[in-house]
Amino acid sequence: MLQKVGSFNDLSQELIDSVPKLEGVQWFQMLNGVSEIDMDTKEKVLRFGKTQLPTKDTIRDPFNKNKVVNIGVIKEVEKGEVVSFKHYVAGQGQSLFSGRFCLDSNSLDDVEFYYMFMLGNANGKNPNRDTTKPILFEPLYFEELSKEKSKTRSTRLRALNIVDGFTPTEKRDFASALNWGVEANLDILTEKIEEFADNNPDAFLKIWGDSSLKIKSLVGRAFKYQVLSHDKSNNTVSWVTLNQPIASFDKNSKEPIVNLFTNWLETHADGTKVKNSLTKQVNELVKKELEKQSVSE
Amino acid sequence: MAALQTVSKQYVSALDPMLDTREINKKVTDIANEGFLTDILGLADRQEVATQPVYYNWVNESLFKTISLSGSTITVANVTVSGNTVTNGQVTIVLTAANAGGIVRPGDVIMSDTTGKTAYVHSVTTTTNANDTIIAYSPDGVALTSKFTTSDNVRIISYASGQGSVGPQSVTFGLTKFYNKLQYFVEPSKITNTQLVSTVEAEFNGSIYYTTKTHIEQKLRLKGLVNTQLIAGEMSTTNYGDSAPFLQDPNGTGYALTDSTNNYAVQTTRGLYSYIKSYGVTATANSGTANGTVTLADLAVVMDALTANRAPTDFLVVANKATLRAHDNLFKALGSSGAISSARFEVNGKTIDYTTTDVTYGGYNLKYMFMPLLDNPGLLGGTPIGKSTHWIPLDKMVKTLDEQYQPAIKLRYTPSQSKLTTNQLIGESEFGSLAPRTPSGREQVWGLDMSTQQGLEVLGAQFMASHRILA
Repeated sequence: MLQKVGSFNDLSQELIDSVPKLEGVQWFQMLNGVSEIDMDTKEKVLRFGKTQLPTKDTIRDPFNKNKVVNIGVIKEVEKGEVVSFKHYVAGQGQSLFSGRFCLDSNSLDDVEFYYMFMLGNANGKNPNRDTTKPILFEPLYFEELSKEKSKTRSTRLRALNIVDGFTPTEKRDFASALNWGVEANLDILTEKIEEFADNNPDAFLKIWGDSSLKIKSLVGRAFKYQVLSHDKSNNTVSWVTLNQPIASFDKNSKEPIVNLFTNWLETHADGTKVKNSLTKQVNELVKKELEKQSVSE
Repeated sequence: MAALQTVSKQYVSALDPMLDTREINKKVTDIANEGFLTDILGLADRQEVATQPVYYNWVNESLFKTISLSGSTITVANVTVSGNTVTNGQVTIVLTAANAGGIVRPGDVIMSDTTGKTAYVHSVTTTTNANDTIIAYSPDGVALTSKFTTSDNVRIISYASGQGSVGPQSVTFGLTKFYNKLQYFVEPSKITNTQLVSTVEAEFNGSIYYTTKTHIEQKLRLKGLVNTQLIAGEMSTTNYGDSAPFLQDPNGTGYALTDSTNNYAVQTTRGLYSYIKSYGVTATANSGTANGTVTLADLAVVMDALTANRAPTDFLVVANKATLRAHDNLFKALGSSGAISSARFEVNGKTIDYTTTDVTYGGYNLKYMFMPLLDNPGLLGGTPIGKSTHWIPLDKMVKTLDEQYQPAIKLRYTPSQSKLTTNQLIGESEFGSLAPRTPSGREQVWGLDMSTQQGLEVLGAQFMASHRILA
């Protein structure tokens, strides 16, 4: 705990209790690293200089009417007044600082530093921090990190499994929903979808779980085969052959036109009629394109 | 006969305003005061040609490492060897994953940094993580209880082997690669045919043509842009050779120098401050919460961190005026007992000089120097860089592993390929039909580009520090 002297470290018990008790070792990760990409391996590395961390700060005590409190790791006291504070330089003594440092509950100094760092404004995970002050580090909770990593990995696995089970039609549907080269070579398309699922598993699952995927895919193809045209200046979708507008949308909308038009098809009174007409035209064109491909192959 | 009357000056002026002369001081006052931005070359000792846009250097690692016992499990027990029993003479240390797999070998002599007690390593084995379990014996029969604790950083201070024994496992030490990149700087000027010959009322270096002013400013601006980047710049991840570069030329429009169709990759060079942030020491006065004052304890923090980095002892400390003032205040307030204060009152027998330029404290010799660039409100003044002192080894030399020396800070550059260059560092190229040396095209202008491709190279950035003083 932080030693209370004069106006220093006059903290409410609730605030002190809000900090998890230091048991064993608590690791911290510096966040001021400078990112570099190794020229040969293309591997991304973070470099950390040795950094002095604040051992004196001013914080708000949310459990005591947001009272402003000075906190610090006190070193010397003279006549009841604080004279100086202990210093802490993260990484001091290491040849090359890896950016991680730890505090040990067996060391009384470390326990004081622990409360200082957990309650101070330099801690990025401190919910009560003064957001105008720079973040220097945050405590590391390995269980949480592992859970997060494991979750990302399992999401990726799920996404890749779904891609693995795709039929050729599903692959083409998925690609057209994203406005990709719809009728490209199936192997190329497969690789592209796999890459997308691997790099953006969350986005992949969101698109795959989208109930309007089929319609989006239809709209994407309709634009590609120029059955429909999109006038960007007034955000209007028209039949190309008839040069007749079907639907107009808000000019300032940032939503992709495929999504906007899909929504129109699903909700407008004429939606079903237009959708059926689109399906008929697009299917014929797709058939022709695939026939052309099989001849050239 | 003369009559009392007044000439109406307003009336005369209305006839022809050219009749009046104008009273103009022909010298333009330089209130921008940017001509004296201290050249980075004042810090960088040498210039060296780079033949590649990315240049590397290597540093070795420490041969004598410490091993943190933080979080490890430490137990002591009685041990009997060849019938000799030592009570609590054996310590078993199981290191955490982060500290395991180090360079401790059986036969090493380890020492606790808190108690100074040594122990002879009997075995290094694996419990959970590779080579995480060290068993060591007391060399002098003294119990090892509480001699090794979790707050220790154990050192390997020696090695001992028995008669006719087999040699220990060899230890290899790696090298760490550092690199930086060249940056292409360019500053253009362009003046039309009419403006080129029109004289102006102001005078620049005795010349009454505006183009003289433009060229003076162009040179200063280029110099300022180069110097500031070499101090404050951050290295781009993009290289010239990238097939899909992230940083690209702004592509054409409005930029006469860029290709209108191709997006060429752009590199930026890492400046001194970025080197210090990545590898050196960054400290903040007033216990980590800068408030414009500095104490000896604050200086000690920087010195201790530099000592831990095995830095040399003579430093040039560059800073802006307010930061230097904070140091002057510190040294002046120390009282007259020290050599620092008493010497300062005797300048010419009259003037009291409050500045402190040379300080010897705690084994370090510091020479303070003012750098205008750190004060300029349009460049680094008011930024974390401007609010800090920067400690740079004074002789600007670093030792190499073969006991030779090389400059700590160098300027790397590619020789300018322009024929209009005097020192290879900065090249000039002209365009427009009025260009005096190489007229080209039909446009009635004289265009002049001053360009240079430079980068900083810092060796041993571990020996440098930035100390934030101002809030």
